[in-house]
Amino acid sequence: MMHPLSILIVDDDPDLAASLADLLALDGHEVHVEFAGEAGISSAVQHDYDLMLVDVVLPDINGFDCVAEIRKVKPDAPIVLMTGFSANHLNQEAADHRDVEIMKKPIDLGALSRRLKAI
Amino acid sequence: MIVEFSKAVALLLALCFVQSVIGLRWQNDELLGKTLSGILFGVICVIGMMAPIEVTPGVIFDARSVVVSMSGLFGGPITGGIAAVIAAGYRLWLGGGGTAVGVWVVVSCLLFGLAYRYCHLRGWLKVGLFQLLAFGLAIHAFEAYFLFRFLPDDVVQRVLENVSLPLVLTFTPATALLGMLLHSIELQVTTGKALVDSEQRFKDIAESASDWFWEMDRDLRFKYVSHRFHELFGYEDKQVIGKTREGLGGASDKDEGWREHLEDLQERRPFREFEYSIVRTDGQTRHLLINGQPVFGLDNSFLGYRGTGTDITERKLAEEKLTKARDELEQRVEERTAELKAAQSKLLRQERLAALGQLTGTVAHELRNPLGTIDASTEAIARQIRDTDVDLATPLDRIQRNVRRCDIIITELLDFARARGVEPESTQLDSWLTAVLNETRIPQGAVVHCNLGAGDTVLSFDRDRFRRAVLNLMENASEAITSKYADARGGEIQVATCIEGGRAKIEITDNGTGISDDALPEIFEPLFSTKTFGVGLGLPTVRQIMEAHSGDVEIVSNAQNHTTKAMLWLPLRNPGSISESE
Repeated sequence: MMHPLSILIVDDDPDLAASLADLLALDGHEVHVEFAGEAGISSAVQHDYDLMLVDVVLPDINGFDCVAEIRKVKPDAPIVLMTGFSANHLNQEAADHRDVEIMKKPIDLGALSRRLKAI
Repeated sequence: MIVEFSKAVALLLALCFVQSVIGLRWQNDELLGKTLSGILFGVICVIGMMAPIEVTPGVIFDARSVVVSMSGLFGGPITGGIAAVIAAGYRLWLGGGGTAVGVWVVVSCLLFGLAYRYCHLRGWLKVGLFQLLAFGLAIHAFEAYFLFRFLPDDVVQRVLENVSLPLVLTFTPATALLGMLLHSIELQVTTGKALVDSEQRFKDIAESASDWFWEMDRDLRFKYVSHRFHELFGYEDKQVIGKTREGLGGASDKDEGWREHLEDLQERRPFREFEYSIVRTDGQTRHLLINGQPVFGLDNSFLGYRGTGTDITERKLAEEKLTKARDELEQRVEERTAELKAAQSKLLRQERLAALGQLTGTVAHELRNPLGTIDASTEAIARQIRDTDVDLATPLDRIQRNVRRCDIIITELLDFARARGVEPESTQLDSWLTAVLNETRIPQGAVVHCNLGAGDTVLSFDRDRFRRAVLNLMENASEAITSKYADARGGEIQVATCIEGGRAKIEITDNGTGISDDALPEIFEPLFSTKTFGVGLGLPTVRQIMEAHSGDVEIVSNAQNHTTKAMLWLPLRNPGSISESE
């Protein structure tokens, strides 16, 4: 059992968001789920999450714009973007440019676990 | 009396002979001919009057009526006029009681002759025996009437007794006879003139035509060729006359044209458009086209051939040029059509692949979320039963393993879907490749030999896409090794680079299973796979990536020797790279 973290998941796929949330909850983390960009941003601004997992493709605004909005208020917010496309160099470049981590879907659960332990 | 008339007739015959000579000799100088004829007719009249039949002193009968009328009829106004003037003049000079009537006879006969001539020229009267007899009768009847009318009665009486019958009986047929003779002379002269004209015309045509004329004797040897032939081919008459055509033209039995031609000659058939060639005196070969007609005598015996010839060398050359140009054009059209077909089929393939790529890309992407859900949910189950006695380890493990497999397939599909559209960057090939190889997972026990010879060559390519191409080939090599060597020991992969023919080449060679000859042609077809696990988009993706870089991929394999060599070609400067490398 690692120390409990507060985590935000922003993904428009409810099943995926819920299954990730369930899994993280099993490890004792406190997980909050949002299904759209704007809702995710306001939640991120209002709460101090230890990690935010944000999908790149969202119904209202895309993941990169979310990162930009959140960073306006919280410049050091720890955000990981999730992408369904292969981590091609475009996404990678954009992520590097904004100093944000990127993980490709389906999320490598082992890698995610290691990432959480590092916090 | 009969003797005197016979003399007159002889005189008339002499007249005819001299007239024909004048007609032929001065046929081209009409005025001189007519004048001479007039003098001739006049002189004959004078000779006639020198030995007349003298009825009484001063009243003479002679053939002047016949001669003057005929000079008017056949000679026209000039000849007739001159003859009449001479005759009348002489008669005046003789004098006597019949002078006035004698002169009048001359004038009236001239008028009769001219009237007949006029009618003949207008086509109203023919010149024939009966017409001439009637004419003679008319003149002499008219003359007799004058005699009766104007001579003293005693003279008339004598004339009636001694002269009138012989006059009418002899001078009428004499007129007809002289007329017929002169008419035939006239025809002869006209025909002769026409013949001479025609000959001259033929000669003029023969010498001025661009073609030439030729004649052969019964032995088929040339006996005449027109000047044009010599002009065209440089041969002199003595080099041609007496020779056969096949002798000049170098006939060959093997040539079907010649064979047919010689057969035509043998059968004495006319021939048209026979083509052959001769060597000109300056050594140049010329092409000839000839037409010919056999010539037969009145007894139907074969006399030879005659005909025309044309130099068709220029036309022939133009035709050859045209044929060549047409052939070239056809070939070019064929080539272009083939190119177009190839381009079209390539385009079709690319369009099909693009549509396929778009579909698979969308589907693959949409599968990622459900797959993530399954993965996460399976992990949740695994965590929750970890500390219980429920043993689901094997099935859960199987689910997770197959989630990974699905993920690999999706990656492959997505790679293929976005193989087009490259974003080239200037990259040093060898150092970049070394880095890529270092990241590549190699089966344990296998060895990778690197022989990178491209030096510091900088190329322009999409690193991400090109990395995918190299990785796909490395994965194929690794799989070929692991399926041949159980623990991959003995497996070798050689990676080499070099610059060759203006292109950079990356060669990846393995000593794995090799590709069978059956499979080799299919390996670049999408969805073709020999692996139990795989979609069959690995090599098609590589090809798409290379084509997008204006490069190429080639794979040679030998299943017996267990080697497969994959080659990637990149142009040293591809179209998309110029701006970036400069």
